[in-house]
Amino acid sequence: MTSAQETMTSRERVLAALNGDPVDRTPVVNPTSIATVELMDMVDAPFPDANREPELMARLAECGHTELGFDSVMPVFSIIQDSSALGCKIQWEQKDNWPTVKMTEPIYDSADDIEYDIEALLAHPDTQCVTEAIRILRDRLGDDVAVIGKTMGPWSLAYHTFGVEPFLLLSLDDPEKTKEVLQRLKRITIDFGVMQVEAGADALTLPDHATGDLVSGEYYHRYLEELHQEFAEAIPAPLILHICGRTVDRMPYIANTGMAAFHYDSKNDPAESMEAVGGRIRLVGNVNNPETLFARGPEEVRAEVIQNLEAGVQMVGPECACPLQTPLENLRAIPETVREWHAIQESE
Amino acid sequence: MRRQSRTELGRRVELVSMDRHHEDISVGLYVRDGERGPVATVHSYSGRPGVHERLEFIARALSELGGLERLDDPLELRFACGGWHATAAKRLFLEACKHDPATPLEQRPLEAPDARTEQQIVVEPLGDGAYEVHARGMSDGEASRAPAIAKGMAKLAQLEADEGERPVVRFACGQSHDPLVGLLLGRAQNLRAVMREEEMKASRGVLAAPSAQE
Amino acid sequence: MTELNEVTNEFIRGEIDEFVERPEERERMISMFAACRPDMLDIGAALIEGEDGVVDELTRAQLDAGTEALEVMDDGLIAGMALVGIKFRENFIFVPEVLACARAMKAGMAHIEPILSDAGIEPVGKVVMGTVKGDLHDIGKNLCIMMLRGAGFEVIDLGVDTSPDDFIDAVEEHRPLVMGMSALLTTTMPNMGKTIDAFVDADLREAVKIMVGGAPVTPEFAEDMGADGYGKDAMECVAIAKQLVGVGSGA
Repeated sequence: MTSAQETMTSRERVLAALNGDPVDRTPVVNPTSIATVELMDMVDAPFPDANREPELMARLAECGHTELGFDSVMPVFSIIQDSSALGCKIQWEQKDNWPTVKMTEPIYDSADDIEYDIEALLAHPDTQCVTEAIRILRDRLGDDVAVIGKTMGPWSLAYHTFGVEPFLLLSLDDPEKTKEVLQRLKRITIDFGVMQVEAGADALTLPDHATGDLVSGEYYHRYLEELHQEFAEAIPAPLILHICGRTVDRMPYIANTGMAAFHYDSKNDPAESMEAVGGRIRLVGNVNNPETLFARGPEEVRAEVIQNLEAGVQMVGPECACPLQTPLENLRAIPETVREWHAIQESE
Repeated sequence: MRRQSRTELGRRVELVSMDRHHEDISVGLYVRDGERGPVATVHSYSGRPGVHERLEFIARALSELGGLERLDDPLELRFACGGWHATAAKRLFLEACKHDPATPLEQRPLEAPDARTEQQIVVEPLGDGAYEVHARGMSDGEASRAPAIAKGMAKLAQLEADEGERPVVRFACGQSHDPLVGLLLGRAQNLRAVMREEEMKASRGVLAAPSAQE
Repeated sequence: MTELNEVTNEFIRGEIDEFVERPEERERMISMFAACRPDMLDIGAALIEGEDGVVDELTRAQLDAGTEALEVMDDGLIAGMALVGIKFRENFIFVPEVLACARAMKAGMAHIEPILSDAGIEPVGKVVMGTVKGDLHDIGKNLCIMMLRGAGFEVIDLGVDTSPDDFIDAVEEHRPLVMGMSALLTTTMPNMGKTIDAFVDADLREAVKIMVGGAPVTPEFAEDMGADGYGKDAMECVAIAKQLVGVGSGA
């Protein structure tokens, strides 16, 4: 099966899709990590060092395009760089596992505790690692491939700094204080995001985990919708909001934010999700990680990719950071399927 | 080291993410269709010095410990029966990777002391891929460990277990696999340890949202 | 059949009317709350609203007035929490609300637990309880634990996300008569079967009676996976546990 003729560079394709403009084929995008232990070996850039050293971070991210055929590269594999710079304790783990914030040792107890020097935070080695990796990737990939950065939203930062349960209790006990927490943390989201754009990022993923298994869609509307609108205005690059879990109930609100795209989870049906956003925001996703990409084979991956393409989802990729042991053949199946599908559409 | 193209490798059946015996490289076992049946390949994407030698050792271990046949390519093997025993292959691969290179590679006997009692467990080949598990030296009133161990072996390698009273397990191919059975005997004695390893392995490498972390 | 208007607390009547949709569950809730004294319903109502300060105050007042600790626990706290569990399961409320209710429960139990421990009741038996691997929900498990303790069982709480190996470790260490597993997700339910299989593999299946429960679990599923008992909710959990240890009629 021959691929359809491609007339755009990967970068052009991704930016056009984020903007809602015509594309030559559906881009294959990873707003979240597609790093695996095998890719780490391929370019000798293992975790945890690849989360802390710019050259390793860039090298591992580059594989996403050069080895797997994705249209984007995204070097911020984990979700802890900003929290580390804020002072959270991090468990850096080993090559085969993700670094995590030790949320059992929160650094904040109340909104009044939130104090940080934004300049120092942006100069921290873990935030600087990201911007330097973006510079390296921009330099190496030129204008051909989209470089996507990542900046954590204030809800996620609050989980990391307060602990999940204390912050959720606060959200019920004292909505005003909760809003104050988000207001105090939002500067990190904006400034770290802007720094990455200035370093050369074409777009940013913005994870903000107001997930469906924890909070209602109404919570998103109450606490985050306006803030996310603010981010869309303040950060000069397309934003891809990422929220895990079942989120169809909040997709209509998310579509109001003015963000370029929403990266959605496999718990949401593609057609149902497209209807929920009503064309007001693009979707990226949503190939299942634990059951499909990790545990099954290329045929199962293909089926989920096609389901997204047939629903009209604008960008296709894994639903979230793929497990580090994911077989490369499964990740490669995503761009292969997209090309084959478009070739069939063109020939019909 | 020649890097195999992915079409040559086939499908990955098992992965050791961090090989403790060689600089934490990842090592995979792949299987593809060959002329004389499925062909397994030991492979790593790492280009570090000494990787090829390490992979060759693992391939040799698969052969010596599990009875797999080596092929012309030193990293390729097959089951002598010409079939593919997927679960057994995974188990064997994990054991081969775990084996300390400093200790000799020796086929495990079909007899071993039981880990929990004073019984001696003996596995008797019956032919046609069937093996009966016996327990000797039971003290008065003590139940035989043979049925539990037979069940464990069946589970570890997805063997067929006979329904009747005799603890017999058999390979679906109907061929003998004595070295593999010797290996399974050792592990079947402590399925909990196997289970613990599998649980630990399954919990690695999955990024949880902050709310999903414990 | 008991009628809704026999539940004397207006707030709780409203909660049942609005949030309990399944007919058999509705009937059970109505019967249960209709049998509770108004003072107990006040505690339950405060718990459902997550008002830990009020639960604390009312619980203390009732105990000071001579009400039995078990009655306050069963009819005030546990009954209220049962309704919270239903609302959460049906997505009427989410984790923040449940956390607030759990905090209120804890406030009440802080007064009750010392009384129950001091009562010197001869334990009926030992039970090990946990939510299965991959499942982080604990409401059902916690309700069962409270009911079991109230009924005189000694309970070891393994928490959430309990692996088969952890269950086995606990059974080997504590030698309970019964082990209880709970799951709230259909995706984690199979881990109950895996855990029972692990006991079989470890040659320990006969060492303990295993009961299961949780919203998605059915009697058929429980039987298929080899459990010894199934309880549809925390209230039944005690009856099943008693049956499995051979105590009384199980009621």
